[in-house]
Amino acid sequence: MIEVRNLTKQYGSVTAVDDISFTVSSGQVTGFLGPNGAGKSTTMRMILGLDRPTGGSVLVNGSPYRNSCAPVHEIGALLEAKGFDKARSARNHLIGLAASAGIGTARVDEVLALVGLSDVAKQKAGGFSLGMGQRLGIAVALLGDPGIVMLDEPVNGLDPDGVLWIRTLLRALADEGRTVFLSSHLMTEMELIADQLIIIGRGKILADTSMTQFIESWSSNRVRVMTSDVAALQGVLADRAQAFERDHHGALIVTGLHAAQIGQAAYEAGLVVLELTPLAVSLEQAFMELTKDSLQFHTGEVAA
Amino acid sequence: MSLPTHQIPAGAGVSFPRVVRSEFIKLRTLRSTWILLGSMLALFIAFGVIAALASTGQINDARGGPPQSLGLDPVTTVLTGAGFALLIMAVFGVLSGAREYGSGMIRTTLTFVPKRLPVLWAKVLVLIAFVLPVVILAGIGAFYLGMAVLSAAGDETASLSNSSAQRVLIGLAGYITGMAIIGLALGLAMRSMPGAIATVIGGVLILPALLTALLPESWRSVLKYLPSNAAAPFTEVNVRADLLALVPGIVVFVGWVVLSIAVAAWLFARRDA
Repeated sequence: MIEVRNLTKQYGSVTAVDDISFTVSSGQVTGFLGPNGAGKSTTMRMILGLDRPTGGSVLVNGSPYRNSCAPVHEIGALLEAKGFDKARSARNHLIGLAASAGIGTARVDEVLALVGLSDVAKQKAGGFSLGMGQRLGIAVALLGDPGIVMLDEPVNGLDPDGVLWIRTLLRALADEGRTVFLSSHLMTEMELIADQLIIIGRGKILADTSMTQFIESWSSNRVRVMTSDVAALQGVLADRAQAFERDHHGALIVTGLHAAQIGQAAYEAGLVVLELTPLAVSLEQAFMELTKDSLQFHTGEVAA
Repeated sequence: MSLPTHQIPAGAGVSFPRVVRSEFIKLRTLRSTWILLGSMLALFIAFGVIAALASTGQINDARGGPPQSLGLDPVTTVLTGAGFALLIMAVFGVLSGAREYGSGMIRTTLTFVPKRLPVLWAKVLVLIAFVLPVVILAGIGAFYLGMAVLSAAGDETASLSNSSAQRVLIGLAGYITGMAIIGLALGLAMRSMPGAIATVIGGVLILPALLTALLPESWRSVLKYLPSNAAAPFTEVNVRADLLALVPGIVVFVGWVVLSIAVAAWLFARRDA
């Protein structure tokens, strides 16, 4: 479990992370979503004690990460794809890091196999593609067989194969009962993997909700109807619909009914329907809407 | 979803010996480590032999006579290569301090050792473990081979039992190792290889000599405390009256090494990685 409490990070006059609080609960995939520069990486670095918070605190499994006796057994992290020495082989990179945690070469070979790098383990990591580098970073994160896996933009720059591989791996890690915390600037990625969603924009938390709830609150139940007699249709639907609006073309926007229900009602009332369009809002749009002006939106609005 | 608490295996975790082992593996698995140590060994010995040959007249300079700087005492002659060894090991120190900042690997390292300072102490210990034995080997190699050349030509030689030869050999080993540590400290503090290399070579090794040559005599009382001047009493055969005596020289030089590491440690522990 990761507990972030009133965390703030200022760089000079710039506030990168602004008094945020959230909890990453055990045993599920939590997505940390936000546009580039929203403060995701800064937050993750503060979780690991790499950056010193200006205010607030972070607890990993109940205590600050710096105080952990077996840090990489608690939380394994991938922060940057190219965080290795180009001149060293992948295997030696892992062996060197593993030694500091008392992890032996058997485990090194195990994680190399797990991420599919066994065949290139003795090659210099400098020659690796972005995808291979990302796999090596994930191997580092898994060395300590940690209960929490934290990945910063793990699918950034990967080809479709690599994206699929990471998605499958993260699902498998979560199914093993691990806590997975991953950041992305792509809602489409989160839709496929996250159970819980934390959205950040300009250093503030905009939403902290379950994926199911987020989908429910943003999926559209609005339908646009063009009919010969708007007033009559409105009368027919009055007791069933939640709300009516008129758009600038004179069409009726009905909230709370499906298109089929409206079509059926119009037919029964003998009204001519000229157009019947469900107004879809994709999660990507919802995310854009939520983050386009961070200052106007607050956590409560989404959960409502 | 409920979940069993994740178990950390018994005996797992960070300890100082493990961090030392980790840093040892990191340095051992870089080819540049062996290239720098190998070239230091080769140049230290080769220049000793070349200087010995030159001083016996077996090699002439461009004008046909022995180079002017040679023909002094035999110990100074055979240890001519020490200056090159010093430069190479200072660079080696910078590399072991700044290299991880170039790749961003430092953040991975500090994720493994979040208490940070053990990483610095381990880097210093491992650097000493790599540099000191090779410097001693190189110094003794240059001494014996150089003396063999001098002896074959019937020139004056010195033996290792000679007290000033011992002082200079041990002193140079300590000086070169100490300068490697200063390089490491600068590398870690500046987080940039080019900047730290320029500082250690330009600022620590060349500038004091330049200032000593350019500034008036009255400045000597201050300049003698600079690292390279403070090291002169234990790295040069002839003790110079205008510099510090042996023990103050050692104290001042060790002071520079400790100061550089203390500043690096202070920054390393506090700064955002």
